[in-house]
Amino acid sequence: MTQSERNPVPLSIPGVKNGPLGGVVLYFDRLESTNSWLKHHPDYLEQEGLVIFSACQTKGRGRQGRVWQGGDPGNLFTSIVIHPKTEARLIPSFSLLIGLAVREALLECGLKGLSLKWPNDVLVKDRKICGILCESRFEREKTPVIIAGIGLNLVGSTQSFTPEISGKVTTLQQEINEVVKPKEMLFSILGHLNRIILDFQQGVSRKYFDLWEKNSSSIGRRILFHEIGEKINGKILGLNEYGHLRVMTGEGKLMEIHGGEIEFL
Amino acid sequence: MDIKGIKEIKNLVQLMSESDLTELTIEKKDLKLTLKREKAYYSDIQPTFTPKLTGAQPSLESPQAGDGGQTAVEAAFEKDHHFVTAPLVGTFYSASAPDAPPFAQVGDKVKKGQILCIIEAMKLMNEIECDVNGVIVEVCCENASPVEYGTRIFAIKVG
Repeated sequence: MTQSERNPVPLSIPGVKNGPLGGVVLYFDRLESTNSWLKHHPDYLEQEGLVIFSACQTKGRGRQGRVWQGGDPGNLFTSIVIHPKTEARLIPSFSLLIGLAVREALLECGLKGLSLKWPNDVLVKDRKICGILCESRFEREKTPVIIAGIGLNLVGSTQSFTPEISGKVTTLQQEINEVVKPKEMLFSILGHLNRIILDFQQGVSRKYFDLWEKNSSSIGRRILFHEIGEKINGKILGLNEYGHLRVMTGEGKLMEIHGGEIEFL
Repeated sequence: MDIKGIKEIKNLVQLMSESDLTELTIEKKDLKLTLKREKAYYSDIQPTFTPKLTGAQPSLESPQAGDGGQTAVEAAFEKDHHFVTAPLVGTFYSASAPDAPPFAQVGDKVKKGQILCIIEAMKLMNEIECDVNGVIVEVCCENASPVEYGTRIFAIKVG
């Protein structure tokens, strides 16, 4: 454990005084993973809206134990403690809300060509700029808590990634030729997310699923997805009442996908 | 004998009734099971005949039919075990990564609060905690298979 890990510095979030994100950031110079830190310090999960911010990340994680590349300073690494306070079946759809908030923040930087890949990848011209990994723990008689981890490529070029993924990713600097500081981007995302979650918790989930459909640029796109070991191709129709992806398969069958990865064709 | 064992016997009985076998013996180190029947049955001769599970007689104690088609042994298993169920719709993962060891497997002693598996829904990885102390006697789902709300994932012998 480094010195900075033992002495996190609380910061207040400008413009976020009320709402589900609470307004406190714990700042670290360096962490293996912001999500992992929270999982190892479960007492902090009781603090609704707490934000963990690290200037660099050495062991970022993706879905199913995948490695998150781009842990260098200048990029954004953060985890947010969210208390969903919605019916259990809507909890996974917070993945969609976080994607929407990141998209809003990137739009404000003048970024063009943004799209959302279900459930929560943020893409620029089909290259991934932001990865989101949400984790939660279900315990009987306890309110679920979401740890929403966000990794956003702000600086550098695609050359800094390994050849296997350099053609599939991008950075904000590469797209707009400007450097945005991680803390500025974090505060912008938190401002949007605070407003979105507050509204979503009032029972207007469909409003946000419609917004996702409208802004994802993915309705009507052809995709490949896995279904019990089988690869199926289909066309995206939209989201159902729980945010699951509605797909029409090549054989004319309507399917609703609630997990796994999709690939754009 | 656990539910898995009973299911295996049922599968064997089914297999026999669908074939022309009249006797089948399986021997393991602590178990010998013989299934016998008087006469082979050919479905192409009597297409309206419904194979009867009782046509084949396991030499072990025969399960008795209970309510809702549940056998006495199954009912006893239900009573004696605690089931961890899926709290949401998603995909069941037994480990944190494809090459990682499972969180829990049959025979493991587990404690209340221990993570047993992950259920993924919309890229939200939900760690499912054990809510009792005991021993895992059955993992009821296959890795990476879809689960519905309430699907049984683990059977645990409490204690």
